[in-house]
Amino acid sequence: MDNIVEAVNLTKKFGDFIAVNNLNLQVVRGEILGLLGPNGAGKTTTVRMVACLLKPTSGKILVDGYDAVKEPEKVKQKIGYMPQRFSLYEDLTVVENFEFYGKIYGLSSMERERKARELLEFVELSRFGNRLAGKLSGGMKQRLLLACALLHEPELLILDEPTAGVDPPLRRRFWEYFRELNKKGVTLLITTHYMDEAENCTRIGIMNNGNLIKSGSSIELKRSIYGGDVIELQVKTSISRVETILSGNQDVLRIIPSGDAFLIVVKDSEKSLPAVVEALRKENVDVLSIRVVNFSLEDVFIKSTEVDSNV
Amino acid sequence: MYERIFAMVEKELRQLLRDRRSLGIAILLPVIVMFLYGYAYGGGTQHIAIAIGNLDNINELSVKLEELILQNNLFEVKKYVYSVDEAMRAIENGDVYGVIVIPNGFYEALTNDGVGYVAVITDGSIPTLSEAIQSGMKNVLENYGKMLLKGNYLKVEQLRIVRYGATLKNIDFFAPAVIGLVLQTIPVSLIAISIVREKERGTFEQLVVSPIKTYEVIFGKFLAYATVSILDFFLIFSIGKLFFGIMIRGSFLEIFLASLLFLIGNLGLGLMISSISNSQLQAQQASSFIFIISAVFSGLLMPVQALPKAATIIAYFLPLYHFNEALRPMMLKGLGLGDLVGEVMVLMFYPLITVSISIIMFKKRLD
Repeated sequence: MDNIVEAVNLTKKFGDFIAVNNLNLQVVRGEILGLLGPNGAGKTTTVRMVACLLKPTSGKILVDGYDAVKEPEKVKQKIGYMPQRFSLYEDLTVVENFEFYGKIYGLSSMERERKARELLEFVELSRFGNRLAGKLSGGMKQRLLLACALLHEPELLILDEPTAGVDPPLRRRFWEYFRELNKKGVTLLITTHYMDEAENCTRIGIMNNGNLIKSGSSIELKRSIYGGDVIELQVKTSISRVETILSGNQDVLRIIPSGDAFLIVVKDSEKSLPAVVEALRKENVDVLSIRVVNFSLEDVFIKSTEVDSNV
Repeated sequence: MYERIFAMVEKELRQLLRDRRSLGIAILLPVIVMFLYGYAYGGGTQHIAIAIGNLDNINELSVKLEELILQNNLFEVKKYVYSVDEAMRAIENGDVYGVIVIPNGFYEALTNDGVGYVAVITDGSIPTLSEAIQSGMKNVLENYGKMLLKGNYLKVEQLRIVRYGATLKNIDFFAPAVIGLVLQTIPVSLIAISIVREKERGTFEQLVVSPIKTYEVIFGKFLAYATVSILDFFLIFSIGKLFFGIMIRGSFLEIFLASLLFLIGNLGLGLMISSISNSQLQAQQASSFIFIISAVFSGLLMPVQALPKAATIIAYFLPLYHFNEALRPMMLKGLGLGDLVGEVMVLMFYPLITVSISIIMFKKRLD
């Protein structure tokens, strides 16, 4: 697979505090990778190291083949970074900010003008070109930050909690921007602690205590809790009978008693549910209720950190 | 590289023009300080201290003239003298800025020939005051002529005598110190605040992820504030010259060169402060601290030689002291850089040291 970011044994210490602990992370070209985790999990520290803002204490980061420590200039041309805090000049206008960064990225005056027009249109700020950045609303500032991070057409866009403190409608809009960019071929690395938001990512990496404890698509992660999808079944019969009935079904992996119900772990609930119902009916078992258990990422998170602390 | 540095300079200047606080430091501060000191030490254009020396007999004509002088707001008669020698001494001692001498035989000449002479001796070391006294006396004498003998041909001529007096102690003595203080305060605080502000507001982060290099950021700021400081240099010299007639006997180019070295050193000092400060407040406090120390030991309040021995040692470590020691003789005695080798050496090392230290400090901090 083609990895745009390859971090190997990455560690960052601040004094005695280990913010990132021996982390291995790959970002696949073309994906949206969401780093999910509580505050202090090391998400921001990780992306800041990828963005060349922090030097790792040990370990190695390659961005598009370039070493982030040894060749930061090369890496910086490849990445766009949108920090948590507004980081543009509030006493310059929207267009002046673009002009300044356009020059810093070495764009010609024609390119600068074209990009500014294009990007302001993209984030719907065209009308505010001459307004001082400091006079924009919070959501507009976030959009301006995004537009500015895209000025030099980066291959990798790093977004550190891009939607923190943003109202829900705008948050949805942001994700539309992100998907649109992703369609155009931009790889996105996003940190967030909104579980629902992470569902939008192609792949999610769950971080805790400076470690990446699990990664995969949303479905993969949810299946990882029990090793598959879970169907909850309530019947008036014993577990052994249910086991016998379902033993012929190869998609059924495990049956776990849970209170007055059973949890049937299957490879794929969509395929298995009709088969399970059919098998039970054939044997005249009274089904009181049957449903597919929808795990949230939060469940995944709690489950994975539990395991982590048990070890 | 040049394009990025130039973008930085342009951005800084644009921000400066929009930021009232920094603009105040850059423009209002030198203007206010120069006018404050100028008026405090240069004397105003009212109540100029003068003396009258009536060497003629007591007669109605000379007494009338004395009365007119006393009535004039421009003058404040501080003293009466009774000989030309005494008049000269009053100026040389700095007691007064001018003496109006009514010579012996004034009455006779005026009544017999219709032409009288009055000598106006002024302290030439303060051209503006000297000029004010001379032209003020011209008015007085014109009025005097019209008043006394209406219609009759009568002329009172003015003899201009310019004398350099001890009043050098005032504005001329203070001007170099004030200029030094202004040239120190402005670059230090402007550059320190501008860098710390980027840290405080998080804008530095965006710069760090962009391809601009740290030295380009710093050099850009350096150029921007060097430009502003140089403009300030011309601003304060213009105010000093135009409004207070400060004495500039030495070569202006050499004065500029010495000031330039001092400015660059101060920008380096500002960089040092910015590398250890985390907020604009801290940077401002650090600059104020340096300002206070410099003000005390720069000779502005008291000549350094008059301070206790231990204090003079501190003064030797202050670049402002050496800048003053160079600037004062250049302005007042007309010395050149060649005459001030010691001071010039200090002024050359100062930027070297502060700029190198600040570079080291920045490198350390970024790692």
